[in-house]
Formats: sequence, C-alpha cells, structure tokens
Amino acid sequence: MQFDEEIREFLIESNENLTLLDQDIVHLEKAPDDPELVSSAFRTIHTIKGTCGFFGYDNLGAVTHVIENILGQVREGKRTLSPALITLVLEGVDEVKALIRSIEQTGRDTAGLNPSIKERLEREFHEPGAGSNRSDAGARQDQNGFVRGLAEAGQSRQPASNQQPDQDSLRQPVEPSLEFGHDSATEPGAGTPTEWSAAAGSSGVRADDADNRHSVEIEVGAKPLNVSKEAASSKDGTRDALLAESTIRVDVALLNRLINLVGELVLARNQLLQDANLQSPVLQQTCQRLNLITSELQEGVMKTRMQPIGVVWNKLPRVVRDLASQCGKQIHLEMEGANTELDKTIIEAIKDPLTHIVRNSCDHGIEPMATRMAKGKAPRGSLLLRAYHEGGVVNIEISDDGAGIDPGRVKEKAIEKGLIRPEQAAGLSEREAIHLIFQPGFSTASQVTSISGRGVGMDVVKTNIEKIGGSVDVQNRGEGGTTVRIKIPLTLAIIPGLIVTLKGGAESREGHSAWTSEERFVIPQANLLELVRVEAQDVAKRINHVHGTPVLHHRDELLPLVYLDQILNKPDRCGDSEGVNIVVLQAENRRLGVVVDAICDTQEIVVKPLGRQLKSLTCYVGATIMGDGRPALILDVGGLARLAGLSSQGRPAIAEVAKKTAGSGTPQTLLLFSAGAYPRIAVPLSFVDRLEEVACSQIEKAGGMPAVYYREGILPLIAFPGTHTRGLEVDKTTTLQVIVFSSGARRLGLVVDQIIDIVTDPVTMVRPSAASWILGSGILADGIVDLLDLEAVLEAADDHWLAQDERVSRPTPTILLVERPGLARELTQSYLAVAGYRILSASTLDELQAHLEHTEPSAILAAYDLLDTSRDPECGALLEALQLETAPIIVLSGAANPDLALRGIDKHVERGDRAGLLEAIASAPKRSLQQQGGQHVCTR
Amino acid sequence: MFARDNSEGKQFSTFRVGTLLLGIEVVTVQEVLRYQEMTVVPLAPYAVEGLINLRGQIVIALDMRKSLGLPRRPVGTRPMNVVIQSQDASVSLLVDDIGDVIETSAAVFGLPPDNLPANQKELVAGIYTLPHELLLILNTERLLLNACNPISQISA
Repeated sequence: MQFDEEIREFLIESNENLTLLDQDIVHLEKAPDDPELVSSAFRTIHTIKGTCGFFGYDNLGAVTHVIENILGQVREGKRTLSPALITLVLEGVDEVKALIRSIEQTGRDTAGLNPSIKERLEREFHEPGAGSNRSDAGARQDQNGFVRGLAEAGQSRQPASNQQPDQDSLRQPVEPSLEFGHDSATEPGAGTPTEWSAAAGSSGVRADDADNRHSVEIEVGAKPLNVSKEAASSKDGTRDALLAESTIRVDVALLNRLINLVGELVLARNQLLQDANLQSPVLQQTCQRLNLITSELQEGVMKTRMQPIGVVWNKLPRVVRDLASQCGKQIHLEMEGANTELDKTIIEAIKDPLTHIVRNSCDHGIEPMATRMAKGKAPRGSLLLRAYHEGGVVNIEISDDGAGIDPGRVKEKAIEKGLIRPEQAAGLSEREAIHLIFQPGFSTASQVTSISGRGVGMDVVKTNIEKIGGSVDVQNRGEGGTTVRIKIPLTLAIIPGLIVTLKGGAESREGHSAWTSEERFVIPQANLLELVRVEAQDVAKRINHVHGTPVLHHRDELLPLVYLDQILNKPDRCGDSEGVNIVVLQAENRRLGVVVDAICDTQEIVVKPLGRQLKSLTCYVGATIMGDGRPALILDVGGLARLAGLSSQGRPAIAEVAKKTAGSGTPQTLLLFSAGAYPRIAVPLSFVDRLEEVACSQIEKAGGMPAVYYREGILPLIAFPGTHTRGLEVDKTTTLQVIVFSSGARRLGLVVDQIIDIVTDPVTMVRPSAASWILGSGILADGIVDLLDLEAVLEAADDHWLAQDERVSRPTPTILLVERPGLARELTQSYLAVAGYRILSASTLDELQAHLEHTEPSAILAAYDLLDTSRDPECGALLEALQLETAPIIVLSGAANPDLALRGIDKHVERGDRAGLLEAIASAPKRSLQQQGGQHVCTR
Repeated sequence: MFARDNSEGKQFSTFRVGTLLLGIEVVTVQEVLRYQEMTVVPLAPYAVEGLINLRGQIVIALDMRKSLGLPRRPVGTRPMNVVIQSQDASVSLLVDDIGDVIETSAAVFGLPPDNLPANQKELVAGIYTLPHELLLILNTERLLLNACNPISQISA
C-alpha cells in the first residue's frame, strides 16, 4: 500500500503509542489510582481518535471514542478500574491495533478483530459493569457455540496451516474473518490469565492454551476462508508491516553528542586540509574525500534533529473541524509550506502556541455563517497557515478572513480589566492597542466558551515564543481578517553570530602567549541592528561625553556607547586613533553601541553552556568553538548593558508598573537632571545639544539676560526655577551645570542643579502637570520622572530675550502630525499649539486616513522614522497615503536624508528646531490651501 | 578495572603545584593533557584561567596556583591540564607537572595540620605521608565551589 505522508506518520505514531498504552494499562491494573497513568492512556487514545477522525477512519474513530469515554470517566474519578474493566479496555485496545493493522494493509479500517467489542464498550460506558461482566455471561450462554466454534476452527485451521500463511495476513478484511494463532508476543494479555471474549451473536471463540499460557483467539466466519487470496496479499502485508519499524526513536542527548563529535571532525578535517596542501597527491585526494564525507555527515547529523512543521500542523485540521462544528461555522483550512523544517525542540515549543492561535482565529476571528453572509463575505471562512524560511528564521503566518480585531474594544476590555488606565488608552495607537491582547489576563470574548476566552492565551503564546528566541506580531486588516506572524529561529543550538575582536594586550599578563593574542567574542545576530564606523576625523564630532557617559550621535538619536574592552576590564587600552567600530545592538527595549577593535564576519555558531564557575557572569550567554578549535565567548547584550550601568535596577514595584505599560510607549533616550524642587526631570536627549559646565565668572549680561560667550556666539542662560543658583547671582567661583538646547541657529542654556543620568526607556505619561515648566509626570522603568516643558522654557527665554514679533501669529490652520505617540509628539504638539495651530496626530495608516476623511490639513508634519521604508515596510503605505495629499509634507528628522527628495517630500526640518519648523509651516506652498475649494480629487 | 581494597590501597593521580605534591583519587580524573590554548574569560572569578576545547566540549580551566594562593607560575613555563569530572561538567586543573599514580595505604593517612595556610587547609581533605614527602589530597568539590566565588581572589 502506498500512503500519504500524513497517514504514514499517523500509523507509525499510533503503533508507538499503542505499545505505550498497553504498558500503561497493565500498570494501571497494579495502581488503578495513578492519575498520571490514566491521563497518559487517555491522551494516547485521544490522539488516535483525533487523527483518525480527520482521515475518515470512522470505525476506528468510534472504537477509540468509546474507550476514551470510559477512560475519561476513570480520569474524572467517576469510576474505578476494576480488573474486568481493564480487561475490556485492553480488548478494545486490541481492536484498535487490529484496525490500524487493517489500515496498514488495506487502507481501510473495516477488518476488526472483534466487531462486538464496540457495543460492549458502549454498554459499559453507559452502564458501568454491564459491558465487562456480560462478556463472561455471554460466553457462558454461548457454551454450545464454543464446541461448534472449536470444531469449525479445527476445520478452518487445516487449510490455513497447510498454506502457512503469514500470521498477520490473516487479519485481512475477508468479510467474515478468521483469526487464530495470534502472535503471543504482540498480545498484551500474554502471560496474564486469559479472558473469554466471545460475543453474543457471533460464533467467535477463544481457546486457551493452558500449557504455555498463550491465548489463542479464534473467530470463525460463516463462509470458508479464501486462502489463496490471503496468500496473495500476504507479500504486500509483510512489507507494510515493516512500516512501523522504518523509524526508531533516538535519545536527543545521543544526537547532541553526535553533533558535537561531527563538529570536532570538521575541525580536525580543516586542520588536516591546511597541512595536506604540502603533502603527496594521494594524501590530498584522501583528504578531499574525507572533506566531502565529513560535510555530508555533518549535514546528515544536523538533519536528524530537524522535523517538518507539518508534524504540528497535522493536528490542526481536526482542531479546526471540531471548533467549526462546535461554533456552527464553516472553516476551510489551507496549509502552505508544511515541509518547512525546524529543529525538534522548536517544533515541540511552538505546538501549543500555534494551536492557541488557530483556536483564537476560529473562535473569535471567523464569524458565524449568517454574520458572514450579512457582511457579503463567503459563508465559508478560511484559515491559511503558511510557513517559509527567510534569512535564517522561519516565518509562520496564521491568517483568517474573519472580523479582525477591533482596537476600540480591545482598549475597552483592557481598561475594564485594569490593564491600562483610560488616559493611557487614549494615547495608544491602533497597533499598540491591538498588542494589548498579549497582556496577561486579557480576553475580549464576551462569553467564555469551551474553546477559548479564559484570558490565558495570547500572553502565554507570546512568552512561549519569546522563550525560544522568536517573536509574535499581529496584523489587523479590519474586516479583511487578522494575520498573526510568528518568527522563530531555525534551531536553538545553532545561531548566527557576529564575530568581533579586541586587540591583545601589549604585554603578556601571566606569561602565557595566549594572553597576548587577539580575543574574539560572538554577538548573537538577533540583537544586532547595524554596524557603524566613525572615522578618526569624525570622532570628536560624533562621539560626545554626556556626564561621563560616551554617546554617539546617530540617526537622530544619542546612542549610549559601551567600550567592550573597558567593560570587560581589559587593560592596555589603545586610543581611538584609527576611528571607532561600533556595533549597534538592541536588548531589552534599549539600544546601545558597543565599541570593539575590529568587526569580523558572521558565522553560524553552536551555543554551548558555560560551567558553574562562570554562571555568575551575566555578560555571557555561553561559549562556542570557532573554526580554529579555540573557544570564544558569546556576549549577552542585555547583561552587557546592565554591566555598563545603562540599565534600570530601580524599585521593583515601579519597574513592574513600567513594564506593564512599556508596550504603550516607544523607548526614548532621556537626559535626567535635578533642579529646584524636582529631583528627577527628564528631557529627550534629542533636544539636548550639549552639556556644559559654565564658571560663574564667565557669566555676563546680554540684553538684560545672563549669558556666556560660547562657541563664537552668545548663549543666553536661564535658570530652572528654584535652582540654588537662583538669578544666577552666585558666588563667582562656582561652576554651573548647563544644558544647552539648540533651536536652529539659536541656543539656550538651562541652568540646573545636577545632571543625573541618561536612560533609554519607554516613558509613559501618567499625569499632566500644572506646574510651570513641567509638562507632566511619567513613569520610567526605574521610577517616576517629571518631564520638562521645553516649550515653556523657550517661552520664558523669549519673553526676556527675544522680541515679541518673532512669534508667529496667524489664523488657526490645521496641522496633521504623523508621529508615534510619546514625548516627542507631545513636545512638538506643544510647540505648535503655542504658535496657534490646531493639531491632529496620527501614527498609523488607519488613524491617518480617519483624519484625512474629515479634515484638510494645511500641512502635514511627519516624523522621518515613520516614513523610513528601510526600517519598516509598513511605512511605505503611510508615505504613499501622504503623497496622495495635496498638503505640503514636512519631515521632522535629525539630519537631511537625501532619499526624501526623491519621494516627493517638500521640506525637511530638524527635530527640535522650533523656529525652523514654524517657518517651514508658514512658508509652505499655498497651492493646497487654494485647491481646498471642493476639488480635492486626489483621494485614496 | 583492577581490584581495589576499600580499607586501604587507594590510588591517587599526583601532580605538582609549586612545591606541593597534590593528589586526586584516580577515578575522578578523566584525563591528563599537555598545555592547551586557552580563551581568556574577562571578569571571570580569580581562579578561572580560561576555557579550553576538549573535543568539542568547552571546559573551564582553573589555575591551581591561584586556587591555593601560591605565587604565579614563572614566565615561560606552561601548565598541564588535569581534567576531572565534577557533578555537572568536566573541569580542567592547571598544574605545574604531572606525577605518578601512587597507591597508598590508609595507615599513613592524617588530617591536614592546623598550621597549613587557611586557604590551603580548606582545600586539603587529608595528608598521606610518603617515604620522601607529603601527599596532599585535594577536596575537589570544595575547590570547584570556591572557584565559583567571584571575589575569591587570594592575596598572593
């Protein structure tokens, strides 16, 4: 018989499971109360039942179903396993085996061992004791049949044994079947007292071979046996009987050892190949062959751990079918890329999350038929599973064409469940709102169904997938449905890594040559964002020190820098004379740049754990063996950041709160300082030009304001209210801490008490403030901060320093601000509000389109990172939508980005350049405003 | 395996660290290797000298001189590796020189003298008196445990 791959696997798996099941049930006889054994037996039967239902083996399904029911009762404690019941169950299991064998041989599940067993099991299920006891009664009643049966058995045994047919082949589906001489080795009851299994209505007889205590089952049909047919098919039968033996189970630990050894072989080969170049041609040839064989061996061994994702998917059709029928829906399941291979451990790990997501899609996503038809959709919902390799990761997509996720409802639910506060909800973008479904304890199902809606689900899915180094994302297409995208690494044992090096010290520390050599480290590629090289002449310009912390000006951001050699306490640091190599990394919601001496290439590395003597070092994930056979350490980026003090080890309670709300804010790099009555004030680092210490003796007066001569210009100074340097009339000998803000050509120095730190954290606005110069209070990972109202500061400075006519005053045109919610957006909003504009803000395409439907903005202000298609493909859609508008588009970013000109962007303004921004808006082309009179044609 | 009388006649792999003759019961020693190239582990506990590749297995190398608070190995000399089995993984002990396998009798066994430096006394399970010198038996579990301590730097 030829089988589909799925059926093949089902048969192999079932055979394995049944062997286990026999053991479990026999053990159960000794320990009938062991809940684990019962559950295990229940699961095994359940699995077979589930799968065979999908393949359409109804007979097998019916038998397993009733066994499952009985075991279910046992599991729930509604009945105990009496020996009689165990016997009955074992008979049922035999029947299952017979049916499976029948499938192996004929492809159909019609040739059972004992058709009556099903009825008896059913009777037993409905009326405990009935099925198991009546088997004895039935046998006694059938005493006459016994004699007749034996006689018939004797008759039919004759021709059969003459032909010596394969014993297994006798289980062929000849309608009235003959079974005898059943192989005692496969008989679970062998060695235990045999039982009478004749059933009423059939002439089935079971003889007991008392000598060797092997049971023999004989079932005699009414018609004579067609022996020749049996013999003919027996050849086929034996071949397929081997199906179960075509795979073996191997301990994963053994495979791991093999992988290790092969790795070593590869290294040995590499070394040999290097030397062999100088040797005789014969040796060279041998080496070549060794080379090939080794490569193939390596590939083969790696493959042993790989399994197609179909292994997990196979279980889903059944799940979907059941759910669909339970909910009265019609769901069509499609699967693409079931052959995509993944490491076994990962397959195991995604099994449950995947089922969860599919259940969610069926239960919450796809609407009932009537609703679908009312919406004009096809009555039958469809669910598409897709898996494909992409750049060393496996993508799994689960898309449905259901109702999608309603961000409004998600927010409502989240507020209701106390996951977020209403004021937080208002600030969430659609995308962020939808990601709330990953919060623990979240469920939007209005009703808890048997299928889902218990509020454990997506958060578990997320945790489980992140545990194996993957990520989950939800894409909501509204009425178009939902797509859940999972990205997971191919394997856990082998990861791509970037090799970086630190130069060796000048002198040997310990007198071993090893110390002086270059040291290599591996950075997991998953943490890697980009590589940056700062040439020697740019070092002074791009790398600054803010309160002792080196930072890099990079893509609108000040990136905290960590010198790997310093952080690892390596002596003999060389200067940055030849430029600086920086690896930009992301870990635990923060970005940092790691300075290394050299960046080598990327390699697939095998992760090996470190021994307990090194467990305390959080800066390493593990170690690996490099091509030359020497070990190299794998860096833990999160640990490294913590080691560098970039992290937040604050009060746990607040850290917790911040973590909960972390999903709502994008990480901001903030400068923390103290001033006056405020111990912690934060201002986005992107607004900060420099930090300076100004000696009081340098302070002069300019236009009635204190100021210093600074970088060939005048830097007006303004003190934060309440700083101990009030009025700047202080002792001439002290120095002041000054934060320099720049706004186009203008600069302003804010005098504060103390610079505290720079942190990169998502910040959540909690409470707006009425205090002057303070925008409001927010939560960082390590505590509460007050946010500086830069606008108010500039205002205050303007009142003193600048002529009033610098203020722009005009009617209230609307400006559409396309920027992620967060501090930067609030600040820009406050700029513009002060200047008298009405501001609408959007951060996603949907929000944008919602605004554009109602209003005609006079200008669109967009953050560069939301248009940067190289970072996020979704940005492309946003950009396209904007380009359809007639309003001028002004882009906010830190530096001129040449690619913008190509994409129809009208203007570019530096972030934080308030004057430049106002001017850009004021001088925006008027054409859009003129066209406003009704002929706005270029719509979406 | 050869017969070993429990009451006496234990076999010890011996090695030298500085002037000391140290011993570990033969069964716990996995193998003895010549000097292996090592990868330095920055920030590692004081006694950890580096990592070596033992046929695909990454093994931590502990410097016995550092563990025992002895002066550093003279420049130009290379240590040998005594790889021992610990509870979870193999660990390599870096020693100056490898000695013979010595069979001892329980009769000459004694506890470490009280005047041994504290950091050594802790690591010595007992002492056998050999004809010409003393054999210090290492308490390997203690040694490996001490090496986990990041601040176990001993003033040398």
